[in-house]
Amino acid sequence: MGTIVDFKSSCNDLDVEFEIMPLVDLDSVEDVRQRHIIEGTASVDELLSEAQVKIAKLNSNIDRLTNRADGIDYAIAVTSGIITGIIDATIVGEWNFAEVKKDTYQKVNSKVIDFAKKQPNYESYCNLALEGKGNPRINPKDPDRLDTAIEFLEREFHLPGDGEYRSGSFGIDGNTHRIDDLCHHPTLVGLVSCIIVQFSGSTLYVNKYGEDINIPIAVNEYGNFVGQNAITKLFAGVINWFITCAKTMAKRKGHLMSDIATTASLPGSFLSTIAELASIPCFRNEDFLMKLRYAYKNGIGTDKNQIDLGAFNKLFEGAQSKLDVTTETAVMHELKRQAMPVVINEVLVRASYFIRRFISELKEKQDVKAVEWKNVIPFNNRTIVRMMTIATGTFTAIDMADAAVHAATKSVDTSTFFSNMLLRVNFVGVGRFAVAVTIDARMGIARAVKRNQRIKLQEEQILLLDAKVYYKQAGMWIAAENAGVTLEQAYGMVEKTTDIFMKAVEEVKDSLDSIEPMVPKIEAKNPGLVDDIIDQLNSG
Amino acid sequence: MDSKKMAIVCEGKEISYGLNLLHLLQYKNDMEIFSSEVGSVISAEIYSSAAFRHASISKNALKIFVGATQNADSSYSKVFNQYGMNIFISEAGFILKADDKKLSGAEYDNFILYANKRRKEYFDLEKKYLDRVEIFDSKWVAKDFDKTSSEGLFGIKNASKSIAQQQYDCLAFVLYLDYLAKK
Repeated sequence: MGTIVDFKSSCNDLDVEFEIMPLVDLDSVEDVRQRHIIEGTASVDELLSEAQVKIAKLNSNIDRLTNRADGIDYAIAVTSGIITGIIDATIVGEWNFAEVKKDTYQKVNSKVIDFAKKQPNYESYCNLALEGKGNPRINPKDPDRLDTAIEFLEREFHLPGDGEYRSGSFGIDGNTHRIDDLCHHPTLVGLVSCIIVQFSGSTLYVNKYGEDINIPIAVNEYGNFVGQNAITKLFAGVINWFITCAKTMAKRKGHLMSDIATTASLPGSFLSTIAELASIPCFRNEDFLMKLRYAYKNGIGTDKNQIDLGAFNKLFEGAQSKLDVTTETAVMHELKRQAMPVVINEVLVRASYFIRRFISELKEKQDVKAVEWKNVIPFNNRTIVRMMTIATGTFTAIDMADAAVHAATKSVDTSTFFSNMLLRVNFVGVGRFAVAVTIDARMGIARAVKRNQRIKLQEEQILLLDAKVYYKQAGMWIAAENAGVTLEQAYGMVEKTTDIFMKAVEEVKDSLDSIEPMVPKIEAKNPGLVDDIIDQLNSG
Repeated sequence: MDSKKMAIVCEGKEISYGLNLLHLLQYKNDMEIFSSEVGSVISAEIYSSAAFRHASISKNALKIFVGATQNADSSYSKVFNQYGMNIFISEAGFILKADDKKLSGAEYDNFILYANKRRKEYFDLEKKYLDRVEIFDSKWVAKDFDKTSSEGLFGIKNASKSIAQQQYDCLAFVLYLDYLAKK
C-alpha cells in the first residue's frame, strides 16, 4: 500500500515515524470499474465534508443573526428609551442655533487673536510703523482687536495664488473664491492642493460652472538646496520637498486663521468635502455647484439666491445662516448636545446586555476563564441590534411626542406647527434609530439569505449521499458478478474431478482384471503366494 | 466693429497662454492699470469659456479664442501658419492655435530665431510699457523680457516652458504686431 505522507519526530531520544496511508491501495485494485467506484466514493466523501464545513459556518452565522432577546431584554430596551427620552425632553431641550452661533463667533475671534499673539512679529507689527520695521507708531495698533490680528495674519501668511482669480472673468468672485480654490478648504484635499500649487506653480480653481481654472502664480521659494552630483541632488530634492511641505502647511494654517474671522469666512469641512466631491469631473453639475456657492455666500432661507430647505429653514433662523465654518461649528455643537442622551441610551442597553449574558455564562460555566466572550460582547449580533432598535425607537417616539406637544402649544397653524416641532426633534436620535432599523433589517435579510444557502447545501448533501449509495450498489453488483463466476469455476472443477476419479476406477479395474490370467504361473513359480496375498487383503 | 472691447477666451491650462497675451496689452495690479499702445485704446478682459457664455458681451466686441475653446469651422480662414502656429480669422474674431505636433531639430531652431525676432519687434515698439511692467511682475512679462541676451525669451530649448507655451507666446506677439497694432 503506498504512503501518502510520512514524517519523523524525536522526543526524549525516541524517534517516532508517522506514515499516512490510504484505506484502499488503488494500485493493487486491478478492476477498472472498482477503481472508478473507489475514486468516485472518495470524491463524494470529500464534497460531503466540504459541504459540512460550510453548513457549520452558516449555522454559526445564522445563530448570530437570530434574535434571541427575551422579555427582560425588551423591558430593558424600552425602559432605557423612556429614561433617555425624558433626559432629552428636560435637559437637551430646543435647538438653539442663534445663541450657539454667537458663542462660536466669539470663540473663533478669540482663537484668531490668540494665534496672532503667538506670532513673534505681532508685537512689533502693532507698535512699529512700516509693518514692524520702522519707527514707533503714533497710534499703536491694538493687539486685542480682531481687525489688527486679521490684517497681520493676511500679511504674514500670504497664500500663493490667493486673489489670482481677479486677473480675469473666470466665474469666481471675492465671496466664493474660498470655495472655488481648493487650497482654502480646511480638509486634507485642501492641504494636498496647497502643496501641489507650491510645486506646480499654478493654482487650480473649480468655478461655479464646473470649469478648471489653472492660473500660473509666483510661488514662495522655500527649499532651495542645490546638489552638486546625482546623490546630493537627490538628497537636496528630498530635503527641499520636506521644507516646502512643512512651510506650506505652516503658511496655510496661518492664512486660514486670518480668513476664518473675515466676513467672507471659510467653507467648513462639510461644505468643502461636498464641493471637492462635486468637483470630480464625472460628478460635475453646474446647477449643483451653483447651489453650493449660494449656500456658502447667501446661506439657508427663502430670500433670493438662498438655499430653501423648507421647514428646516427654521433651524437656521436668528443668525447669519451662510454655510461657512462658523455655521458648521454651531451646527456641530448642537448635534453634540443632542447626541448626549443618544449615547446614554446606547451605553445603558449594551451594558445591560453584557451584564445579563455575563452572569448567565458564569452560572453555566462556573469559571471566568471558561466564559465564551462572543456570547457576552454586546456587539454584532441580532439580539443587541433588536434591543437597540427598540430602545432608539422608544427614544424617538418620546422625543417626537415631546416635540409635538411643545409645537402644539406654540403654533397657530399647521405650517408653523411643523417648523416649531423640528426645533425640538433630536436629529441624532432620529439618525440613530434609522441606522438601527437599517442594520436590523439588513441582518434579517442576511439571515434569510444564509438560511437559503444552508437549505441548498443540505440538498446538495442529500444528492451526494444518493451518489454514494449508487457507488455502493455498483460495488455490490460487481461483487455478485464475481461470486457467480467463482461458483461456475467450482462446478467445472467438480466435473473435472469426477472425470479423473472415474478414469482412476477404470484403470484399477483393468489392472485387477489383468492379474487373473497370470495366477497359475504365479502359483507355479511361487507356491502359496496367492493365498498369502488374499489373506492379507482380507485381514486388511 | 467696436474696437474698444476685447474678450480673450481660454480655459483650463490654456489660461496661462491667454494671460500672456493679455499682458502684452495691459497690466493691472491692486494699485493701478497701465497699457501698451494697443491696450490703451481697447478694454481687454480674459474669460473662461463658461464665464464668456454667461457674460453679456457685445456682438461687436473683438473676440480672441485661445487653444481649444473654439473650433475653426468654415466661417474662419487661416491667415497665419508657421512652425506649428496658426491664426484663424473671421468676423467673430481670432483663434490662436498651436498644432499638437512637436517641433524638433532644425525646425525648432528656426522657430526660435523667428520668435526672438518678433519678440524684439514688440520690445522695440512697447519699451516704455515694458519698463513699467517689470517693476511689478517677476513672473512672466517683465522677467522674461528683461533678458537682453540674443537668446532672449525663447533661447533655451530645455527651458521650464513647454514648446506649446513658447508657440502660444510667439503667437501672442504675432497677433499683437501683425493684426492688433496695425488696425
